[in-house]
Amino acid sequence: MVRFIIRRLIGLIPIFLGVIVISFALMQAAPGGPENAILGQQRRMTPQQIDSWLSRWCLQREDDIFAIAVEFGGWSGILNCNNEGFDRFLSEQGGLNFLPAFLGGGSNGLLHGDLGSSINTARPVAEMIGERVPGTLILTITALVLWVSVAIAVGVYAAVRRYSVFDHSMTFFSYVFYSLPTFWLGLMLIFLFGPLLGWLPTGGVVNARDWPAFGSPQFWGAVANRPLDAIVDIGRHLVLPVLTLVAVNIAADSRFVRASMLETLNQDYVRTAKAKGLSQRAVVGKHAFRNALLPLVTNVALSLPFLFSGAVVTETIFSWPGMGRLFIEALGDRDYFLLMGIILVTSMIILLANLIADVVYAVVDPRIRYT
Amino acid sequence: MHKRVFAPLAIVMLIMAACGQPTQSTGESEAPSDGASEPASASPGSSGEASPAASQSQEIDDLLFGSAYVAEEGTAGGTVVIADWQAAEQLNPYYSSGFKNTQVFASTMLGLYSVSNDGKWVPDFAQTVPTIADGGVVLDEEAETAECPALEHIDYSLYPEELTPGFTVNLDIKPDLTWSDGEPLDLNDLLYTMNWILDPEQTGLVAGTTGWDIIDSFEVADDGLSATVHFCRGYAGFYALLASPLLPEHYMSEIPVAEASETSYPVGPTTVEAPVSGPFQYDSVAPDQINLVRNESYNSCVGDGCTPHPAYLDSIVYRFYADKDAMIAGFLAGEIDVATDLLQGDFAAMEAAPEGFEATIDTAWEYEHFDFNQLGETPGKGHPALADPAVRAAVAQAIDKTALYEAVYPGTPLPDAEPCSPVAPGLYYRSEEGLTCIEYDPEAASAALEASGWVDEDGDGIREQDGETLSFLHCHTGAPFRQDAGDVLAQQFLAVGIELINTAEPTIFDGWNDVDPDQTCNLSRGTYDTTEFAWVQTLDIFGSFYYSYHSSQIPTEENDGNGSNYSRLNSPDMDEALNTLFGTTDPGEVYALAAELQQIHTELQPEVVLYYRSGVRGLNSSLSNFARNPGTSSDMWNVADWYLAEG
Repeated sequence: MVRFIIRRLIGLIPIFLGVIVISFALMQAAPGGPENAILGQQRRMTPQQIDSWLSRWCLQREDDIFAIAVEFGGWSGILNCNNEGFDRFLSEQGGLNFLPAFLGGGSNGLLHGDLGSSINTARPVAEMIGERVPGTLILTITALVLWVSVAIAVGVYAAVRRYSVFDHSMTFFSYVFYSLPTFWLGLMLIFLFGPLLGWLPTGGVVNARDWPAFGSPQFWGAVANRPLDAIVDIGRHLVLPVLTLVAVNIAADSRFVRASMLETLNQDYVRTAKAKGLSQRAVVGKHAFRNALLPLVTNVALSLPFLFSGAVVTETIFSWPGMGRLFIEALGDRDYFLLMGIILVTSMIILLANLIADVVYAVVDPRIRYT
Repeated sequence: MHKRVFAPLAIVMLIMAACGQPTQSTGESEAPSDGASEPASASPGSSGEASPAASQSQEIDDLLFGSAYVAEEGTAGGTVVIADWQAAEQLNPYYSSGFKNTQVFASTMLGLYSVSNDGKWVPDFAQTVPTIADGGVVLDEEAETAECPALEHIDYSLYPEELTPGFTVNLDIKPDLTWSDGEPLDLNDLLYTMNWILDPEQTGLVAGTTGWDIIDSFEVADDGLSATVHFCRGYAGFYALLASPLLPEHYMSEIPVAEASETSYPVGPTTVEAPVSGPFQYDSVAPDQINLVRNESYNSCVGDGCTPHPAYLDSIVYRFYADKDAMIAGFLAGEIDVATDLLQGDFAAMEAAPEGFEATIDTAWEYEHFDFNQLGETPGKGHPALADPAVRAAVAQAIDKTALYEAVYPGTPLPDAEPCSPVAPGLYYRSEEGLTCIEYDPEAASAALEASGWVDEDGDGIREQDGETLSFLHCHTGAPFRQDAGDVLAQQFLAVGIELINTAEPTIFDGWNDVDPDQTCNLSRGTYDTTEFAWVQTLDIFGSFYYSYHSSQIPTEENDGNGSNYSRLNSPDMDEALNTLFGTTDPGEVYALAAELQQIHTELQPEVVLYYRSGVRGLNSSLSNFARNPGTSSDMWNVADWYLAEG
């Protein structure tokens, strides 16, 4: 198993590189460039100021392959943007720039842990991503755990009670919720539980009046001082966005579990188990359920990137400061470095999630052996 | 822009307004300077009649200075939550624009002067606002040389060729002011700010350097409380320029200028350490929320003859929603004390405010307009018919503005002022004298089109001439109220034989280099026939007019697409008046020129004023001393005076 994991990890490297190279090239090939993004902030820059700014990031005015290669070199840390011509391969210390600093290399770019700065906010990309991760994880882990648990329970029960009132009801509601646009459902829930009933907050992670800005060092300091208050307040703010995510996503997974369970329940070994006189609970729980679970593993594993990339629409509707909202903002602002940072981390997680899925298969299904 | 209204930033304002985002707040309808009649009553006549002596008349000073604003004494304590549906991106006022940023600066970074709720210049850190009448502003006898002495960095290509006399401004500042970290604050900080702006290492400022670069002398007294500033040319926007926020020399000088846009006042945790001058200072900063607490070092006040005091409120929270509907829901649920950045289209939703809260609607310094592309190339790139003034006038006659407003904003009160002048009500330089206001008259419109050779020969209801149909590509951002307006206009135009193709294009304001030359519906590239968007105006008429109507501001290949004269107006009369305005310092003369500019505008009809826009707010009724500000100062212009009344 260990050898398999190592082999897969090595195999992921070229895929990962391919993803970021293609993403970078596609982004740079789009109309307009970073200089237009910064000019889009309405800054009045002279041509010299624009050139100076572009040079700091190895950015080029041209859109040809060579220009994109230079830009990628700067972003990745292969090139030193402070130098000109072939000297760009050299760091300030005189060594090859792509090497680590302690070997005489440079300090800029991905290879040296620098994702650059956001064009729009001028803040370090890593810092911006870092402060959004907690918000997204709080929301998506809660939602994922809930919707997978409920989907399994509903799917299994509907399969066992096939064509019952419960099964028909679940089928009906599954399709209803699956058809609902997330933004519409979210807004309806907000207006129902907020202004109309006054039971729940309409957005945000915590009550803005009572807490420092979420994600700031001051916030975490306050949480350390009042952990219980924080849990209660975050919990109240979680209800509506989680309800939205669960309602929309539970439909697909519950139908999936139901179908898988039905197929398993018709297998010979299940029939044999029943013939042996095992209880319904034992047949379903011990024999059918574990096998029916296998396809769900793939589904859940593929949902793992969602933990990081966030729920774009839900985060927007509920003003939840997470990765999905950050991605949308970066896209709208053509914030190239920020977009690349998000794509980089997301693609890494997708690749790792696939690896995890493969490993979990082996755990769940004893018949699978990796050599 | 910023609380202290930067001179050339009408451009920025229009972009934001064009996106359907209000960029400023609205004014008190009962405010003395609000309404169209006031400037008319002080009609200066033609520009040629305004002598310097006459221009210093009490009437002009009354229009510009002497606000009626007086704050009640408040009680200390409490937190106010202010909400916007767009998040602040930059907290250095020189690198950012837009209402979402402005309202935050207005609480933290102040300058010498501010614009009051009734549209007057009032002292902020200054003790007085200098005027020609009181000797605070002294005009030079005559223009001197073609170039300002000892200024190597000045880009004279930005300035009109005609030389105008320079002037001196005597500045003062309140004593005993300090930054939030206790360092002294005086006019040396303004001198530093000027030098910082003009530093060659600058990476681009939203307001550029116009105005600053013609200051050839800035002498600060030893005590830092007074200074003499000399401009080597005339400059109409000097009040706005000198009202720019002060930067703390002791903090900014530690940051390389080339890196200042990234490391000074970002929307991030490090900003908490940065000194500020306003009544509130940063306590915690994150992308979706900024918490401010009272700056105990603040010892100033805004307004004429006010008494310095610290802010009454303990803290302010800026909460940024990602969706306007969600923000409205937050207000209706009582979670927000001040809901901002809303237009008249939102009023109906806000009216269901819970007990203890209220929704208000007030005229803003902005107006929605219907533009003609006068490029005269081909349909879709400035329809040839629109180069003909008679056709433009006929099109204007075909618009029933009242019906349009009522269709777009059903149930929302119609603005009081008749839409004609390209200056919004409440601005001191608005004039109604001698304007060519075109009334709705579809019969006359049809006759005029007929006379211009546009007739419906094939009976399909659309006029033609020489094989060309009278069909206009009408572009807008896609904001619902503009989509609706386009539909209404299409119906009205059909009645006179004009086809309007109502087209939503969210990238309509993308820059010259952002789009292909032939991309449909781009204002910079001129790939449209007609369009609808809004201008947001400031107390600085130069900034409001020059960049929109001067022929040098038509985006072209030669100027790299710079400028926002999207209607491609190319009029020697307008250019001459704007060149004169550029170099005019005397507010009286500026006022007279403003009347002339409005007359020229309505004669040339580069755009049809459809309606004056209103700003909508949601307010906690307990919030006292809240004085709606129609200008770019934002409603937070007097935030130190706000307090929560009991009950």
